[in-house]
Amino acid sequence: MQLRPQKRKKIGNFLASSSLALLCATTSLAKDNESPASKKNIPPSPLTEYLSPTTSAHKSWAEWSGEVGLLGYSETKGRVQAIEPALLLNAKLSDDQAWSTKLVFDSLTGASPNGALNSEQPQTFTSPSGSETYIISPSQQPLYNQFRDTRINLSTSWTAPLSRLWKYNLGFNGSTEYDYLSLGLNASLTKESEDKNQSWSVGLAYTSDSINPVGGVPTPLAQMRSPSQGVLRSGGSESKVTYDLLMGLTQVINHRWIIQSNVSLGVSSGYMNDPYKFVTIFDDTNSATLGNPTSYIHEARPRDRFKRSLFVSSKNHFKTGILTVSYRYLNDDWGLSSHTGEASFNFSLSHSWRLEPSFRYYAQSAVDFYQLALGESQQIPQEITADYRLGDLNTIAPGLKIIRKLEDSKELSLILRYYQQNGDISSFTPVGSQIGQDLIPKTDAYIVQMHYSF
Amino acid sequence: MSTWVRLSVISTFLLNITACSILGVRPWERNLLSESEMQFGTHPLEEGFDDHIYFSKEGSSGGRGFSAGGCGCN
Repeated sequence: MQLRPQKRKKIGNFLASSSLALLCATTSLAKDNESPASKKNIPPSPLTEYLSPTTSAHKSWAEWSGEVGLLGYSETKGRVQAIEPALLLNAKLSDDQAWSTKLVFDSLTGASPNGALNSEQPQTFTSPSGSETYIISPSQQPLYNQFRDTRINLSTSWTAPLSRLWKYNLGFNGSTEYDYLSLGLNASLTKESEDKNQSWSVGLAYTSDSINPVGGVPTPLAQMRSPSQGVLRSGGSESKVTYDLLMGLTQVINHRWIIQSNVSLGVSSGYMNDPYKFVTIFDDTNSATLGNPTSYIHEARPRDRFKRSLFVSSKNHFKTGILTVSYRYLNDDWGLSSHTGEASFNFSLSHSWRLEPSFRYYAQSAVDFYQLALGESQQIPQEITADYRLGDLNTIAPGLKIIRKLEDSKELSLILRYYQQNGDISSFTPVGSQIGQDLIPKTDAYIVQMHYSF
Repeated sequence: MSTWVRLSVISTFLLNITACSILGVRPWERNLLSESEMQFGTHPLEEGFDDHIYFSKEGSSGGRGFSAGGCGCN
């Protein structure tokens, strides 16, 4: 269901023009500062002067720092496995100018849910390419097990002062994988108070995505067809554009307490379907075959989305350690609303060892067009998805970070985390053969991260 | 009043409170605040990994920074 599309369009136009204006403004102000006279007048660091332990002491052309990281992500039952190495390089130049670049390589394999419902019957599906079929055994979650992809993500940003209290940041983000290309630009302005106890920021981001699904874009709401019939396609590729506005405040409360608060708005327009997800149509009339799947259709989501969120984070320095808590509330015009809470406590074991246990809780309500499956006698709505990620669900993620402090501010850390996701099917009433099936199997994943910062 | 409106009012109120001049510290009181663990956003790779996982598995993204995105993430 699309709510007030005209209003979204206005917000989108506003964000687009504001983004351009901010980019132009920061560039022009930066150019003004390039004159020798103004360069001389730029004083050292605003926030880092007081808050950062790595204040530039040398006047060499750049002070380098960075981090290498490795993520291992493994879902149980042969589902998604991911390995993700990453490199971050920071160069701090003279006059508090800073350049940062991040490179991430992402390799995924395993099986991914195709959106269809478990059944006591064997189920045959057409692969995303439309050239072959795969069979799911009775009472097994329908997964496409040939899922594999590699992704490369490069992001870079430039930060420089505009004046004693103002600074700007310009960034680029690019990500490419087999069926997806994303390019984005962002710009932000930050102002600090005279006493350095407050920092205000505003940022805009523009992202343009190209989606090239394997075999082409399946026609939304079209029935799944066998390879011999040929999958109905609406085209070879699609696109999506996103504008984000982020406004933030960081406030020092006292010598042990600092808080951060962000409000963000995001407008997306374009193709937002998952081209590889189906919705099961089941028999809801014949008692002998009640609940059995009769066909599958390709999902269809709205082509516009407006999201807004509030994020608050707090850090308290107690005598025993540092407590970080954060909360995010997000909702959108698809009908989804979510609450995210995180807490961690970082404490010292010895001079060089620290521990940080953490816990994250997330709960979301389903989008308006989410349906686990659809009865054959019901009319197919204009928009429908059975993707569990847009349904009612909650997740928990307890974790532990082990930190080894090394010489010269270097650090080695290991993070172990367990992630569990539970879908809620209370909005769906199973019938016939669906009764007793595990209609939304829970997802369990183990996460390992290793980091070395230098 | 919707939850969003209520939260916006509360956050505006909190922001105004925090803007009060009695908050904050003097430069010589910043020794604890200057510790790396007291900084926001000092672990970009860790936060990037986490955001990518949650973006891929949940219907929400962003908030701490710009919305993640730019991937198929099936």
